[in-house]
Amino acid sequence: MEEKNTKNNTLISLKNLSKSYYKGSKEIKVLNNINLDFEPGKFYLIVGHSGSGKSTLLKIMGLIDKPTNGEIFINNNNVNNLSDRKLAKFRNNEIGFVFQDYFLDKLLTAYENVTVPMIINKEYKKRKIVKKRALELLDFVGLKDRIKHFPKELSGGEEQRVAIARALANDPSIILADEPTGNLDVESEKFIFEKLKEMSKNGKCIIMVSHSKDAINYADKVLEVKDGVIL
Amino acid sequence: MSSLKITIKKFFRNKLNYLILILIGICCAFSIIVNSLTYSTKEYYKDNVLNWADYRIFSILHPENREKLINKLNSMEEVIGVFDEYGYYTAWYMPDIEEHFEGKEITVRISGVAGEIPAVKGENLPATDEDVMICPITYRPLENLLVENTKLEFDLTPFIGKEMTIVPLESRSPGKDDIYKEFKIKLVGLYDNDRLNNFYHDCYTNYNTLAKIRKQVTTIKNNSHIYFQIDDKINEEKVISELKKSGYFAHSVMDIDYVLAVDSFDTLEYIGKGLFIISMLIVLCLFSYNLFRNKKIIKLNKILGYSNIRLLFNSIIETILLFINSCISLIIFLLVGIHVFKNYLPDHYPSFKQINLIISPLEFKKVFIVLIFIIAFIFIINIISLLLGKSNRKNII
Ligand SMILES: Nc1ncnc2c1ncn2[C@@H]1O[C@H](COP(=O)(O)OP(=O)(O)OP(=O)(O)O)[C@@H](O)[C@H]1O
Ligand SMILES: [Mg+2]
Repeated sequence: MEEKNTKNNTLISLKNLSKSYYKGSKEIKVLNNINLDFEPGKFYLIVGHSGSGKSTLLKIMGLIDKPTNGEIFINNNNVNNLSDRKLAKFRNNEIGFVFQDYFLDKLLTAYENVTVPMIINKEYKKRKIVKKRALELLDFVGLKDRIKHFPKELSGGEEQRVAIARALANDPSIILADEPTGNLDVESEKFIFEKLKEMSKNGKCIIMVSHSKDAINYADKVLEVKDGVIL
Repeated sequence: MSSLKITIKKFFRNKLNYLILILIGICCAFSIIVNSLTYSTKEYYKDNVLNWADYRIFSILHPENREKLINKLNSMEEVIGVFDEYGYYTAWYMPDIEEHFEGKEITVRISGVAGEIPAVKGENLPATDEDVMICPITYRPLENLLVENTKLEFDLTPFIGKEMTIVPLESRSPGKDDIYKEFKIKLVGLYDNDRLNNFYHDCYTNYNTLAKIRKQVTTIKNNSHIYFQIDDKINEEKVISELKKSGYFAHSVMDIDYVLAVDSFDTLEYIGKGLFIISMLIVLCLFSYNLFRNKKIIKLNKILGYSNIRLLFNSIIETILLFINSCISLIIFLLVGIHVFKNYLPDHYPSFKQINLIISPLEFKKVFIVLIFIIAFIFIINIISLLLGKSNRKNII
């Protein structure tokens, strides 16, 4: 039952999306009937109180979690009922993640961490292409001279920059960032925000959750989650 | 760079894996060596000590009907010789070699045996009745036992092929010159007594030869035993039980005193087993801990786009790596263990000198099966964690 989303220029479309968690028989409504569209080339900032459901929303959009009700369309494709393999492929191709605690593989170097999504992707089979792209991305985030460093040999800001390079590895159209600067100082934060902004200008859809006051200066659109709905 | 290469790299970068591999290697190798040592020792005894002529000689006391018993014994396939007190052992003086020990009186025990005794120098003692004897290659006079700290040793090699003079003990007491008697017996060869216990002054001749000589010097009043020798220790139980059925109770003439502390092997075996179990538990704990650490990375890989099948594939690769490297580690520690056994232990525990460490294939097989079980268990834990990772999707971010 492939439903087509008719709207043009919409990358992600959430339709009547709800999410509830169940603790025993008790239902905790986190998201309630959300309808949202995200366009490419835009920088979205999601704000809201702690526990309001921002991360939950990102996880659902990132195809890591499933909504209780409603549908998600990405590139006009209904991704609700994809198989595990197709979901994995979709995540790999279309979505880049940046997390608050960087989430790098500690056993891999900066360079290797960036190559992982490409290795999974069959289109990047050629070693040379993978290498070139990984080095370009590390250069983009200003870590050209840190490629052989392991995460423990990098500062927090540097780790997050590696994570950004990794998120860009397969040139996805969507970047989901959940408090990417939560652990960083002002300077590092500025660098990350600027990079994300630059990426949005290059046509990517950036969706970022942030508590930072400065974040608003970079965002094209601010969405506030409150009581399960978007204001 | 491929997924396989990354998996392999990660395996070798994880220091915990080395700890796991070393533990697996040490405990498997230790277990194999300890068990093989026990096995080798037992084999050694079976082949070298327990099957020695003396251990195959049995006696029966006060047989009611001597003739009937002798006939019975002679009819038994496994019995290679039947004799009485005259053919059993006695002590003799050997004047020929006394000169070499500064006038000390040198005693030798001469035992009568039925079968052939192999020589390491000269010729074997033949199974047939000839006036020849075979003596130990490392000869120590009986007196040696009585006087502590004297280790008189004598090389009998120059006497091989020579007629030796032997004098019965009872004819050489002071003031008994009238009954002094000498006999000649040819020394045909020397047997290897180094691998036996306390056989330092035991020469052997055929029981008929011995009886023939002894009958010329002694009259044994209490000739109440019948002795017989069997062909192989393996048949001991069979022969003894068959005799029992006929009402004869046969006893080994030798106490089987284990030369080496076989008991200490039992302790070692227990230690080995204990260590093995403890190490395996540690390995499993370490592995679980490793997995716990890994769970986060499994989640990450899922986010980055690994499908469950690919994660399973990685898990299989990791398991194979663990298995191959466990085997390598096992082989390395086994070689080290064997080296230590061959070069270090015999210097400190001389009893090990004789034993040839045979790594029994059975032990290998046992340890191998245990190893496979452990790896399989680890693999199952791996799969469970994959499934857990799946259900924990919500907590990824
Ligand atoms: N797996 C879960 N089971 C039950 N409840 C959950 C689960 N995950 C989240 N919740 C609940 O859902 C609500 C929203 O959580 P979420 O993590 O989306 O908040 P958030 O807006 O990201 O908060 P923060 O700003 O602190 O990160 C919270 O009340 C939380 O307790
Ligand atoms: Mg959150």
